[in-house]
Order: sequence, then structure tokens, then C-alpha cells
Amino acid sequence: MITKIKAFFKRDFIISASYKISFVLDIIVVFFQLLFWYYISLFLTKNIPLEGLNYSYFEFLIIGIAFHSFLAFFLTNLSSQIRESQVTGTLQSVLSTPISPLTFFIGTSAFGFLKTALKLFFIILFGVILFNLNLSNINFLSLIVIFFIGIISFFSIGLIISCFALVFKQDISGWTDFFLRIFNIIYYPIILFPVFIRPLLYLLPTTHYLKGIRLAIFENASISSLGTNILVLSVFAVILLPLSLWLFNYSLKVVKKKGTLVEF
Amino acid sequence: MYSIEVKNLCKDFPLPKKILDVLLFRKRKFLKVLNNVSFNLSYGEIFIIMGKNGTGKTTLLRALSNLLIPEKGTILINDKPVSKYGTDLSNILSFVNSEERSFYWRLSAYENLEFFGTLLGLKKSQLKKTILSSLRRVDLIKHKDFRFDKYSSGMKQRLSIARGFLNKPKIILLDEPTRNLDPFHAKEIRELIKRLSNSKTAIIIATNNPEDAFIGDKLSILKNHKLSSLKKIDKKNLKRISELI
Repeated sequence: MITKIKAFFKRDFIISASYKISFVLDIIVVFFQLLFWYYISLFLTKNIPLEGLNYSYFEFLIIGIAFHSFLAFFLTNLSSQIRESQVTGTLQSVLSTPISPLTFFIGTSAFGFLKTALKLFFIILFGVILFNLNLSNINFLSLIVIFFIGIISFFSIGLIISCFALVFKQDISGWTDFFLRIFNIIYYPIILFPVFIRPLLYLLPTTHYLKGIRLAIFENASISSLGTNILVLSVFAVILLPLSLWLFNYSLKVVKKKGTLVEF
Repeated sequence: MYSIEVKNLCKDFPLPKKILDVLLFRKRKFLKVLNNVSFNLSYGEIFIIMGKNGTGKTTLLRALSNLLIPEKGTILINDKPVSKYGTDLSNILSFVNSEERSFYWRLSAYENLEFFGTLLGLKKSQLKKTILSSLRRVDLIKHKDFRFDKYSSGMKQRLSIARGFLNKPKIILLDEPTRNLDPFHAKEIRELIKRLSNSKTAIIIATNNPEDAFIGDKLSILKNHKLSSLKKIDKKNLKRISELI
């Protein structure tokens, strides 16, 4: 399994490296993105209630954007990879090899995961060096726990979205991410939402993920104090992972029956 | 024991519904592609399936490689239903399609084969040697580091064949293997296929090129969704084969 994942990683690395300046451009974009949000935050700070919190609106924002990039990666990556491999015709050749669905999913995500991790690193680095992002209260253990449980949930949701791409030949992951950007606590706190929407937001794993991440980074929250967030994310992970794997296998059967595996 | 045994295979494809059909709740129509197709193949044989474009040759090969689920009928590979193999099927069966869009265009030929070779389970110690000998066989060794998008159609076709033989499968399905090739390389590929076939290999070639028929041990014509009875291949009946398809 590891050898096959490495092969995917190498493939994606070579393809990515063939677009010579894309990585440098990504880093430059990160810087300007932060600069943009910094000025927006200066403008908005007075209007967004963050009283009682241990951090500024810009710090709230910077962590929201940084960790949302992971969330978005797992939600959109599989679907866009499947869609791309349908269009380039490589899906059939890859699925014609003795590769388990799980290896395929992990393999296709491996390089993108590293790229997203590097992006997160640069966001945090620029945040600390240029914008006084305070990380002195960070609880690494809580951060790692909530981060990885979150990943399993979003990976599973991404897998469910990729089934849509497999069967209907349309990538809806961008729409899902757009929807989650609005109904999420990336850019603004939950208190800004109408009262009747707030309970609904707590039904989304994304809310618990970002809330937990911020608490672990700024409030030194321990694992036990993040109990609810970890529990909700774990429930999502335990239910969604087997469900999404089953759904993917079922979708594969559907396209084989319809004869549309190679269609795009 | 047959390598492949196909009994009464049927495949229909759903046709897209027109707006009027949706509004009037009309039932979906289906296009019949394969109708009660049956044949069997032993190891050591090369089986040629001939037919015009769109007669269902590729559909048949895709069903044999479990990339398509038929409506009716059974496909046995080594006496075991093809659907029971799961991902292990690719350890014994290889489907070489003539589709150019099955490689990564920004990788070189070598890198492409290295990727697919690893997925096919070739060990690291033998991977390089196997890839180089495969590339040598299809006359691409000098161009191994060229990116796939720089390849001509014929070179892409030959690389596709090299990939098909990479893990030395026992059953090889070739879909129009000489489609994009010039006469010289088409002859080379036919000779290569003939060389690679042995008593332990079963090969099916779907083609509409009568020249390909002569490397086969038996021939069948796919016409009107049905497979005709097997015919002995004889150089004298080249014209007859052309007429039949």
C-alpha cells in the first residue's frame, strides 16, 4: 500500500513540478491574501463582536482561513481528481490495476495534502512574523487530535461528493465549499448568524472543527475541555467513513452497469 | 479448463431521454450492443474478434475485464466468475485499449510505466529492468524520457501495448492494437504479439483490420450484436473476411 501511495505522490510531484512557477505563485498569493484580510479586519474589527475572547479578529480570521484550506482540500480534492481523471481518461487505467479504493483515495490525496500543509505553514509563518499572530497559548495535543478527527470526517464527506462526480460527471465540490464558506465560522463568529440558524450550524462538523482548532490554539484548551467538539467530529467520522466507502463502491457498480466509467 | 468462457452475454446501454420523453413519463429506451454472445478460449490461443466500428467489440472487452457489468450472461475466467475477482483480476488479465487518453501527458513514457508498473504490483528491484525491456520491445527505448504529450499517435499506441504486457498477464485483451500505426510498426506489433503469445497466454484481439487476423488461431465476426461461429483463418480468405465484417 505504501509503495503505491508513494507512486501517486511521485506522479503528482512530477506533474506539479512541470508547472514550474506554480508553487512560488501559491506562496506569493498566500502573502497577498493575508495582507488583504489584514486590511479587511482593520475595517471590520469594530463591527464584529469578539468581546471576552483571548484573540483579535485578525487572529480569528487567520486561523479560520489557514485551517479551512485543509477542510476545503479534503472536501474538494477527491471529486476534482476523479473528474480530472475522467476527462484525461486515466481513471479507467488506474482502476484496471489491483488497487484498493482506500489506497486510491489516500494516494490521490497524498501530494495535495503536503501542498496544503505547506500552504498552512506559510499562512501561520507570515501571520507570526508579519502580523503578530500569537501562538503562545497553543495546546499541540488538542490541536493534533481535533485536526485528525476532522480530517477523517471531511475526507468522508469529500468521498461522498466524489461519488456525484463519478456517476453524474459533474464536480459539485466547489459549490459545497462555497456553501460551507457562507455557513461556517471561517470569516465571522457564530454570534453574527440569526438565532434560528445557530443550532443548525452546530450540526455541521465544520463548526466543531474550527471552533476546536481555535480553542486549542488561543485558549490552550485541553482534550477534555474540547469533549463536545471531539465527540461530534468522532460521530461524524465513525458514521461517514464506512458509509462513504460503501457509497463509492456502489457508485462504481452503477457506472459499470451504465457503461459510463470512461465517459466524461 | 478454458482461460475465458463466455455464455449468453447481453449488454444494453440506456439512451439519453429527450425532454419530451421526460415530460410524458415515457420509459427509457435502450440500445442493444451485445446479444447472447458466447465463446471460449484456451491458453495458447489468439482469438480475433472482427467487426465494424460501433459493433460492440470494445464493450465486449470491457465486460471481460470487469469494467462493465453485463445485463445477462456469465463470464468465467479460469472457471471463476469475473465479478468475483475484484482488484485481483488485473494480476491475470490486462486490457490494452487504443485510447490515447489513458496516460499522464506531462509524465515521460518511463515515468508513466513506472507509475502503472508500481500499481500493478511489480517489485522495485525488477521494475526498472521490466520497463526498459518493455520499451525496447516496442521500439521506444530511445524516447523513454520524452514526455507523453510529445509522442505521436503510433508511439502512444506502442506505449499502451508495453503497459499491457508489463506484469506478464496470462490473459491479454487488445482493442485495435494497430489502429494508429504505420504499416511498418503495425507489422512489428503483430510480430510482437505473436512472440509474446505462448502456451500459457490467451490473447483476444478486437480489430477491424483484416491484416491483424493472420496472427490469430481463430476468428469470429461481431455483427448485428452477435458473434458469428468461429472460422479457421486462412490467408486465402482475406477478401472474404473483409466482406464479412
